[in-house]
Amino acid sequence: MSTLNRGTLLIANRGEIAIRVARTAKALGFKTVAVYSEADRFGEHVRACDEAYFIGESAPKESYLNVDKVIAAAKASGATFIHPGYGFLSERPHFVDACVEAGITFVGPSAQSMRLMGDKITARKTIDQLNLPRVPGSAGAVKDGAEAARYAKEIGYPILLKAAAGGGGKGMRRVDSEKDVLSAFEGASRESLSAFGDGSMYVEKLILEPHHVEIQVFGDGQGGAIHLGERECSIQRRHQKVWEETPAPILNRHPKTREAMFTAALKITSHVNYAGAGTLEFIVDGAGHFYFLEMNTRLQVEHPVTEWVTGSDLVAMQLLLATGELTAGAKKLETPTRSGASIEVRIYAEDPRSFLPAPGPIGRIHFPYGPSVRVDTALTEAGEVSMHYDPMIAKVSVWAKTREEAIGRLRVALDETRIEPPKKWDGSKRGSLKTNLEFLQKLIRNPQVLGGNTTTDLIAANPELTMELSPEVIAHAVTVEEAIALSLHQLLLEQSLTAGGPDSGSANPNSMSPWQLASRREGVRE
Amino acid sequence: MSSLNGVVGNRKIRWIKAPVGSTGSGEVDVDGKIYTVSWKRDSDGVWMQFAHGCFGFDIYGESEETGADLVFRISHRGTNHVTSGLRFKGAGEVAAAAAAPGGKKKALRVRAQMPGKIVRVLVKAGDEVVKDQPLLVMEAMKMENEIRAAGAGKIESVKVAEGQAVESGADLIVIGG
Repeated sequence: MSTLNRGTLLIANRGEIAIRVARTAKALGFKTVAVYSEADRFGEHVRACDEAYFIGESAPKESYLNVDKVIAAAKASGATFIHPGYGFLSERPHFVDACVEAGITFVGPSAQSMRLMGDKITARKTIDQLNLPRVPGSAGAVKDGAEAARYAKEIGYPILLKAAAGGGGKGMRRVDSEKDVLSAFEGASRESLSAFGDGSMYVEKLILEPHHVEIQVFGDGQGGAIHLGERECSIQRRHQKVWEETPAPILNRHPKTREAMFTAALKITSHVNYAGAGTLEFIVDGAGHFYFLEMNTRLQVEHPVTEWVTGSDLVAMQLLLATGELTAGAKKLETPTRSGASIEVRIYAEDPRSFLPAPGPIGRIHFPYGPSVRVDTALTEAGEVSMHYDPMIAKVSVWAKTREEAIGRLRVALDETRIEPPKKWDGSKRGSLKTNLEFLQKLIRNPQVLGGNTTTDLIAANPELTMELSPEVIAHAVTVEEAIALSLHQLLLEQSLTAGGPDSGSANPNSMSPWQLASRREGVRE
Repeated sequence: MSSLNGVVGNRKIRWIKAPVGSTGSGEVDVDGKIYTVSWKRDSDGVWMQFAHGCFGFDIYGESEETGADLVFRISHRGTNHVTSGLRFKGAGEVAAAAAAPGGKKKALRVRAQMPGKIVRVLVKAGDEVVKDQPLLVMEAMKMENEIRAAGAGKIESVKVAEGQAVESGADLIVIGG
């Protein structure tokens, strides 16, 4: 059974998700094909596959977003299946059409169900038809700031302006009063136009005490569907998720809401004859009311937490549905039982206070090990976080019997993790890499997080998570051992540089002459 | 900085003899108390053994700038307690800082943290700005980001125009002291 040949799968993605898909595909007996851009010539995902095809320049639209080039690579490799991963072409119905035309099976939903649910405005109409709750807002795209203001008056401030084509917080603005509507509309619309090639916006009421909860579903493409439980992803910075967990703490307080959400999610999935893995995102308020937000017609970044508690492999399910094996004969999808708790955090190359992207070369990388710890990454040795793509470095997830134990495991895992830029001769860093690791280490010790009351404004409500300590406070807190360590470090460095003793080679790999050192000190450029 | 006397934060340090070697031992006076320490340096920092226990620290520079302004981030290997923004200041450096005229500030250079495009320029040369005031809107990694002033001062020069593409590290704005 181990030498099955299930066909050739092209993975139209990069980074950790391409590797994650390749692992399962190889295990199932697929031949795997990678595609890569100029920037990813030496990418780990290229090595993870059996074959690899170059598809163009580093900019996504020249390579990973270029339908013709991806299809050409698929034909050249003889691929019969394409897995899109997440992002890039994963939610573009015209790519699905192109696959069908080329006689290649797209691992995911049909173009039709993608069109029905993928676009937020069409999705709202579907939700209204099914009589399910959604956040009050404009029925369709609004054309300008004045129209947005009219809707806002109707539903009441605060409101959210959101890009119709958007995701991940791009092209999104909170507006608290009428005077800010026009400028917010302009900014968000411009951002959306440059990011997604579409500037249309819609208006939505802002829910108070909001929790972001999503339901993982899986459809057979013929109206049959199962759910695989929920995920709460309320902790977000810049409207992007950074911590995802299951079960959702808010639904533990409102178990009836959980069941109602499962029912609603399955109703939608069946209605659009959805095929494969999909996610229905909802907002749940503090009182347990839920509102439909949008559907993601693809595998989610945070799918590992669902895999942890259900013991399932979502990519394997996707692939076996595509080959027809999952629903062959009288076989039906089975709702898995869920046990324990799982949490995932995303490690990004970004400033831990401003959350601005800070990609760059990596000098040292070390990931955690231990029972029920999983790391999804494409960076396994010193390399570089590319500035061309999303700056995510890794997803670290854990499982345990209870949420409390999972938090303990994740805390230790995060403390074990080291990601540092390369060092120069005096310890200063080479390149601009920063990571949010320090932020995550504070997050996992935060009382509000530990208590499970994780609303989407958690980061703003806990300024100590992102606060820089004043020099006076730091100076006062220095321990004896820290003081000795730092003085020792600097003196040894100085000594090994100037004395050039027998030890200088090992302590100082990029050794400089005293002349170079002197010129650096004087600020003279070499 | 080769002075053996100096400070780290509020701690006064005096090495009895200059420490030598990537493994070695010596004596150091901290705030009037003598500690005997043996150490081993590695690529990430230093391990130290005292009579009262063993301590390991990772030590990383916090900026790309080299020289006397470089501060370090130091993290305890067991507890992962992190302290940022520290530097061992030798006696000469401390004296120079004390003797420096009080009001003299260095010009602040606002640099691009990543490649991107300037969408808006919100200030012009001669403007007085306060700390955290927005200076520019830059589009990078598909997001619009406000670049804010790291400190107060008068804008000396604006080196970019709206619509211009900039490389990582490019000077954007100089704020005078």
